[in-house]
Amino acid sequence: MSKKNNYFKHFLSIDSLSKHQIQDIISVANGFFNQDGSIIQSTALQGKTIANLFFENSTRTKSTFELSAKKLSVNVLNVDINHSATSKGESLLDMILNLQAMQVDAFVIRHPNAGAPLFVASQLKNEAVIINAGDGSHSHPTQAMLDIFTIWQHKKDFQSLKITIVGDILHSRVARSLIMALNIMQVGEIRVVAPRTLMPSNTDVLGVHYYPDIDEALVDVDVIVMLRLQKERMNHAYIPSGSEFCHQYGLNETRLKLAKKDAIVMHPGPTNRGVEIAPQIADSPQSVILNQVTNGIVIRMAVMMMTMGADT
Amino acid sequence: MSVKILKNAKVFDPNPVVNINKKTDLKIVDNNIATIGNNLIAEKNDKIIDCENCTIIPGIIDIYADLSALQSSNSLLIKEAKTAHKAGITTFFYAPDKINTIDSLSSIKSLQNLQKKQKTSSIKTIGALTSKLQGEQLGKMYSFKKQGAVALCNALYPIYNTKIKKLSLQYAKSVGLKVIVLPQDAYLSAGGCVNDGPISSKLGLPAIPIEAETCDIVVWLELVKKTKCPVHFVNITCAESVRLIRQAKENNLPVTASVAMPYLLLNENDNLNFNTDTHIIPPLRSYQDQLFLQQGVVDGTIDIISSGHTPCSKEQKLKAFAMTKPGISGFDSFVPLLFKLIDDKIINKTTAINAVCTNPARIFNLTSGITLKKPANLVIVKNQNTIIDNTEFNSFGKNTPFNGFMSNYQVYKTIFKNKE
Repeated sequence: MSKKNNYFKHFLSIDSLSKHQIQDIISVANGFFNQDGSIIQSTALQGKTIANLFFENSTRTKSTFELSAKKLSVNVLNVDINHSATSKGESLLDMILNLQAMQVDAFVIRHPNAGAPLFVASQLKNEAVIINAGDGSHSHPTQAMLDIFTIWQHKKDFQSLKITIVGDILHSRVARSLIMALNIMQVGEIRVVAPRTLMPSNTDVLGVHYYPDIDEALVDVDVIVMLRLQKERMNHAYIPSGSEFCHQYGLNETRLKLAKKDAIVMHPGPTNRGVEIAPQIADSPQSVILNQVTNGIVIRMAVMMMTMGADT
Repeated sequence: MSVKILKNAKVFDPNPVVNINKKTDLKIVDNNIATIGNNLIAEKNDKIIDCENCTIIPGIIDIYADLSALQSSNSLLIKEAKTAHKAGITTFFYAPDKINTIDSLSSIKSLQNLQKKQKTSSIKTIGALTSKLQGEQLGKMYSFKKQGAVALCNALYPIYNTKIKKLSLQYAKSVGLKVIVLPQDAYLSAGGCVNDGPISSKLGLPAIPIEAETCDIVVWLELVKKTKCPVHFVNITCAESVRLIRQAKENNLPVTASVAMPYLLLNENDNLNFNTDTHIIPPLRSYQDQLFLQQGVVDGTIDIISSGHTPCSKEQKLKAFAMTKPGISGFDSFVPLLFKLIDDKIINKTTAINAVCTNPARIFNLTSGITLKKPANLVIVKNQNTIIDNTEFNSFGKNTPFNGFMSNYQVYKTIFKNKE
């Protein structure tokens, strides 16, 4: 079977992937770039229809899923959740079943509840594909894949890397998925930095080293991943204030110097400039934040190709 | 006059007052046990029930059923009572909920009237400890007692004000009713759906730490120390709670405790894969906690095993994990799982039967015992392989994580109020 065709039934989480499968996704995604860095336009999935179901706000993820689909000539149905039947009490499952009856081939689901896309996938009886675009604090597998792809673009060899992830690990699906992917790729060391209030209780099961002090955690690392601090966390006593967090955990130029000279800085966006990341860092040559956004398109194209089963 | 003769049964009742464990026949005349002895002769119209390969135990008393999913429907309530009867549970306690707060005399009375018309299991009411379970004003405890309430509780609804907690214990003590407490700190548990541990760390599900339970137990224990009001802690889930209760008992505080069946057989690892049938509150804890709870039953720190019966509709469980109604339907699988605990040598038979018959009766002033001239309130348990299958459940709720569990025992018949 081709790498591209029906490779995955659904794309729900990172933990079920092997190193080989992650490498295959990287390979397929990389194939969507032209020599000049532009992304190819393909008719590979012409005739297919995808529905974007975003039960949480999203700009980047939703837009890149839409763009990715269009690059593959997929029809895109953006369901307006705020004015949909779910807002009138229809269940998530009923909504999916109805859309399936409209011959939608794949559903991109973002949902505030952990496990929601897995639940839907477990209830579907036919060929419809579920792609998880982020569920609660559980998983954001396409984000993890675009992060891995970006690291691969800049560093190639994962095993020698030291990577530090800074921010709200407790509530971050981005962190959970990326940590899983990095562990699958056998990264040298994964360090996580956060106040204890924003850490899961059992970091040992995640396969990371916990650092309460960001200055220690940044020493000699190759990759720095800054996470967005959601405002609601500030309002629920997880931290004293945004400025205090910035002072203690924000990435500034002095701290960046602790890392390797060629260290890259990543952020899943949207960034809170002046909270978790200084503006000059976000715009510095070491920042690959906009590369991540572009890579999000090819990764999502790869995932669509590898789930929706086009014949090539 | 109706006469039944139960032939060749092994009669087992470890109640110290009764203490019977022998193969014998048992004659029931009308509603009472008339004779216990070998080779009883049946007369022409006597009904003979062959109990070869069966154990007869006293009717089970299940001390906490959350029937909120029934929405106070009388017909569903009677169906659940019939389910309990078929499952060997001859008495169960109906916990108050927001729909049926059991804080009015009429609601207790209507339940009693309902029951008089049915020869199902006995439904005992638990009165609301605070008015409308709002945690602000005391429930009408004396009136509830007069109407037959066996205890008082506030279910999982928080009493934020510690003074109200204290006053409720003082008043309950003067009324002479035991207070049932589901220990859970409202703030520490808010929004959570699984244990705070490796599984929540991995899955990113909102967590409830064990401190949510233990902090609340500590507060109640301090108030018990002061008020001397007897308190029964239900649904304790972790090792630290067992330690706290053991210590309280050693200090002669009037406290008792129970654990629900799921916590003895499952742990947080069963939450993996987002199986919504394992979503219960308080949540399943660690494997170590599970072992500690089992040990707590064995050493008597935990007095009672309840079924934890919380039937849910299919729709209530067909959602993302955190959005589902927490609960496991417990009646139908209770006896097979209880005997599985015995068969697997986790709990011995005497302790197990005491935990579901003798102890609940003693703690809540009910009667239990296979005793001459007393009502025949019996469960005939057959030694027969069974696989738990929720499609065969009689309960409104088919929600169980125990599908496929095997046991060597199942309920053959329940005899209660002269009804099989």
